[in-house]
Parts: sequence; structure tokens; C-alpha cells
Amino acid sequence: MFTLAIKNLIHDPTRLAIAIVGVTFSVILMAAQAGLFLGFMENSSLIIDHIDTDIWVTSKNSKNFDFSQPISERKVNQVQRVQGVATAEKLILAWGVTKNPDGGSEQVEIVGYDPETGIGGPWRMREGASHDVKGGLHAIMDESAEKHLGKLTVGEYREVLGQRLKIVGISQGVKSFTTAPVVFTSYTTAQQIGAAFLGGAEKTVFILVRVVHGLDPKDVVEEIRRSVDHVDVYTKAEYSWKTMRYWMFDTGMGIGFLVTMVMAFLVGIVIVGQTIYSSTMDHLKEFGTLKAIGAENRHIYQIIFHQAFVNAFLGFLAGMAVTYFTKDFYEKIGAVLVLPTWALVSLLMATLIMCFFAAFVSVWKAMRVEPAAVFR
Amino acid sequence: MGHEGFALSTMIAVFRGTEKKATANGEMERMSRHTIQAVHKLSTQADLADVTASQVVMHVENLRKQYRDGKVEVTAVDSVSLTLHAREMVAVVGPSGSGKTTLLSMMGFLLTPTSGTIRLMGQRVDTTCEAALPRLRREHIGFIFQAFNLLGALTAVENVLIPLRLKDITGRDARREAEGLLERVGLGHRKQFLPRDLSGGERQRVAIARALAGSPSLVLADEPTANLDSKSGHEVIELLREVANEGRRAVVLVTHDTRNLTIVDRVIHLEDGRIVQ
Repeated sequence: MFTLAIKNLIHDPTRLAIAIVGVTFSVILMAAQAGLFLGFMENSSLIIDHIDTDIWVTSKNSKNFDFSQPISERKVNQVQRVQGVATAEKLILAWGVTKNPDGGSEQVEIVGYDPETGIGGPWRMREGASHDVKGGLHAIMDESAEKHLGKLTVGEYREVLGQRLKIVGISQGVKSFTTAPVVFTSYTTAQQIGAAFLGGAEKTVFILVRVVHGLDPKDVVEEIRRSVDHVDVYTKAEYSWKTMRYWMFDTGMGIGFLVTMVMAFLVGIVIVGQTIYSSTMDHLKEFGTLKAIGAENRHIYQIIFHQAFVNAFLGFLAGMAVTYFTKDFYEKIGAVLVLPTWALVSLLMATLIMCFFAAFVSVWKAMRVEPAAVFR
Repeated sequence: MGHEGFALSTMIAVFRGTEKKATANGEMERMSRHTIQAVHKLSTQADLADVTASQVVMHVENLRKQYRDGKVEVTAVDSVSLTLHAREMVAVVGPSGSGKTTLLSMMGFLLTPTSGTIRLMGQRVDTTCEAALPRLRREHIGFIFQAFNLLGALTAVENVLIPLRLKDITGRDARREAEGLLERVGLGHRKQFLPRDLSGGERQRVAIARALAGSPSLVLADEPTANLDSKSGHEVIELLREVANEGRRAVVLVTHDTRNLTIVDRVIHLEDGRIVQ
């Protein structure tokens, strides 16, 4: 019956092509939406995920990394005294404006970290090193910011919040979900130029905690919550997820991706369903003949489902090939397509399920064919 | 088919497993004990060469089929009794609407009679449950249709292989039998042709080869020459005669063509669902 299914498909190449093109487009759309969604999710918590710490202490009711409010630096001492805390580092995230050489201006996120420990600094450098920011009004900018800020060169000066900062390094792979370029400075520089944003001196934004070796960060989180007032405390995974959830779901962005994915899935069902249905209708007499000569309904299902699965598999391969070759295009327009193995397997399953559902109406129709009809 | 054999045999193995599971699940338990025994006994009669001319292939008794057409009850076949012997070729004739096709459908287990009995190779089979009918058909009946009903995407030999696959006959044995049957009907040289590349007469000969695949005990032919020119039609009827003469089976032929009647052993005239002669 598998042979018959394949031969029926090949026998009508136009119909086969239409079905495969339908599945292909559906797969491309689903892969693009899923890949972009995962890319955005990854991007939204990129900085959190790359900072080597166990616990994040933030202002009360902080919704996400990008919009956290300042807290008093005195909280650092309180946190440090909590049992189970090995180290507590300060990290500033402030919003500012940079002036471009062409006269334009851009909003930037200023990340101020301790260059001695490097915690909170850039994790991959194209030029320079993360500790180069110490000792003056120095900055490291990411190469991805060149789209907004123009060509960046080590040694040149850029004005940020009215202060001239010398670029001492170019980092790689640091992107904010807000699309604002990230400017790394030393903690003291960030505190100095971001004073207006921070609302005065002796303010920080995050406290990054490493727990004593062997302790469960969750236990230490509870301890900090009990000991320090007016702050929120999260494990790294919790804060990463909170930030992701904010951008993807609280803003409605993720729902948009999901709706498009569901639409692509439904469009795929309709296209494949129509082609399989018309094929089934054309072969209804043949199915009747098969039943007359002794085939059972399950043999007929096999034929129809084999056809659906062949459509699904070929459409999936074609769809993934197109997605692979257009990956560079997405990167050029500033989006990242992330499709890990589990996402590919899920997409294949979704495609198979899509074609399986598409075949259902045809199966129902074929099931009702009376073998006696062959004599009519 | 080459490597297709593997896929088909795998599929059939799966079918077998499914069938066993279905049995275990109680699906077959719905069949009456009598029916299961009858079908099993029939299915295991592998060597039909034992059937001699005197042996009865099929016996139908007081066969009746009624339909409801709106508020009107229509009797398509009424109290038909007949016996088919091995090596016998019987023609069923009659005007349109006389019940020929309905009778053929009941003898081929495509329709269930309203009343009456059908015995195949001595076993009563009219009480067979719906689920077991396909098996009965593929084990014992060969069909030849007016419009040939070949599967358009398959070559001649693949068409002949279909009933063998359904009977779980696979691999070289199936291939050998299918090719032998095509040789038998004079189409050995056209076995790789698609139906669309064959003439009407050739298509019907492929259909005959398909009907003979797996050595059924009864071949039912519905107007097999109606779509053929007289020469091809004559060749097909001659072929069916040879098939009947092989001593392994009976052939029932529904026809309007009176030229076909000279070659058959017996003619049954139907009118208004009854045998009139």
C-alpha cells in the first residue's frame, strides 16, 4: 500500500508539487516565527544569562532587567552580612543618550561594572579587554551598535550624557532587547555620568550575589528576603525568566508570534487537506475497487496517511532548507533566528500532525465508500 | 517493484500485528462462532486443485435482497437459488434492473442478502459479519469489472500484485505469480506498462490476471466485454472460458451481449429479480 501511496503521488506531479509547496510555506512561516520568538527570548535575557552570578537583588517590583530602578548602595552591606552570601557586587544599568558624529543622538543602556572582578562586563571582546574601562572615562561598545552609532574605533571619543568617553574596547554579541546599544563603563564612571538617572550618589541598580560554595542559591534567596527590606531577590534563572516573560508575554509580543504560528499551522492544514482531499476524491473509485478485491479500511487509511506523511516530510525538508538559507538575511536585518534541535523536532512533529489532521476528512470520505459501488 | 517489496512486507507484517491486536481487543469476538469457523476453514483450503468438476463451488438458496427507496420497498433479487460447479461458466442475463448486478454483488460478498443462504465450498458464509467480508473476498473471489477498474498509477504487474499483497503473498513468490498470470493472459511483454498505455482489450486482460491472482474459487465478471470492440471482447470471453476450464473454479458472467452466450455452460435469465429460465 505504501507503493500505491507513493505512486499515486508521483502519478500527479502537479498536485504533489502544490501540496509540498503548501507544506513548505507553512513550515517556513512556523520556523521563522518560532526561530524569531526563541531568538528574541534568548536576546531578552542575554546579559543576565552571561553574568556569572547566583542571585540578583533588585529594586522592589522590578519587572525586568532593562527597567530596574536604583536602590541604595547601603543594601550591598546588608546583603553581604546575610548568611550564605560569599560575595556581593554592585552593577549599574542606567539609560542615557549618546551623540553620534553625524549630529544625531541615540538612547543607550549604560552598564557600569567593577573592572577588577569583571562581573557584569562584556563576555566576548573583538578589541581590548573588559578591565580596560578602569582608570578614567572609558567605555566599551558593542560592534552590534555600529548600526546605530556608526563605525566604532578604539581610541575615539563618544559623548554620553554630556561626558566624553574614550572607547577602549569593542565587544561582540551584546544586544539589548530594547535595541538600544549597550555601553560598558566602570562602575564609578556609570555612577558619575548617570547620577541624574540614579537620583543621586551612593545609588546602585543591582546587587549580584555569589553564594558560599555548596549552598543552594534558593535557600540564600530566602535568607536575603528575610534580612533585607524593600528589595526583590531572585535566583539567576528566576530573573532571566522574569525578564523573558515580561518581554514575550506581558507586552503581548509572544502572543503575536504564537498567533502567527497557529495561523501557519492552520493554513498548512487547509492546503494539504485540500490537495489530499481532491486526490482522494479522484481515487475514490480505486479505493472502492481495492475494497471490493479484499482491502480493508485500514489499508485505505494507510494509503492516505502515507501520502500525507510523504507530503509532510518533503515539505518539512524543503521548508527547513529555505529557512537555513535565509538565516543570514534575518541576521542582516538585526533579528536572530534560534532553532535548537528540540525546536526542529517540534516543528517536524507539528508538520506531521498538521498533515495527519489534513488527511482526516479524506479518510472519513474513503471509509464511506461502499465496495458494491464498483458495479455501478 | 524491486525494493518496494521490503516496504510492503513490513507494512503487511504491521497489518498482521494489528489484526492480532484487533482480535485480542475483541473486535472479532463479535463474529459468531459459526462464522469464524467457516471463514477459517475456507481460508485454510489452500489447494483448490482438489476441486473437481463435480464439486460445488457456491450454492445459493432462496436469496433475496430488498431495498427501501423512500417509502417504497424494492425487491432487487427474489428467491434466487442456484449452484455453481467447478469448471462451470454461467452467464446471467436479463434486462436492466432485473437484479443481475445485485445478485453478483451478493455472490461476491459485496452486499449482504436480506434473506437466504450462501454456501462457499460447502461452508455457510451468509452469516459472516461485516468485518470478515473483505477477507472472504480476497481469499475466494476474483472480480472483473466493465470499466476494468485498474489502478492508474500502477503498472500492469503491480496491479496484479495488489490482491497478492492483500493476501500476504509477498516477495519473489508474488512477483513470479503476477508475471506468470500476465504471461497467461498474453501480456508478458507489457507488464511494465501503465493502464493508460494499454488498449481496452489489454486492460481487461490485466483485470482478468488480477482477478486470478491468488487462485480464487469463484470469478465474477460484470459486463467484461461492454467497453471492448468485438474482437477484443471475443478474446476476453475466450480467455474467461479457459479460466473456467482449468478445473479450479467457476466463472459467473453478467452480460448483455448475446454473442457471449454460445460459449458458456449455462444461462440464467433474470427478470424482476427472479430466475425465469
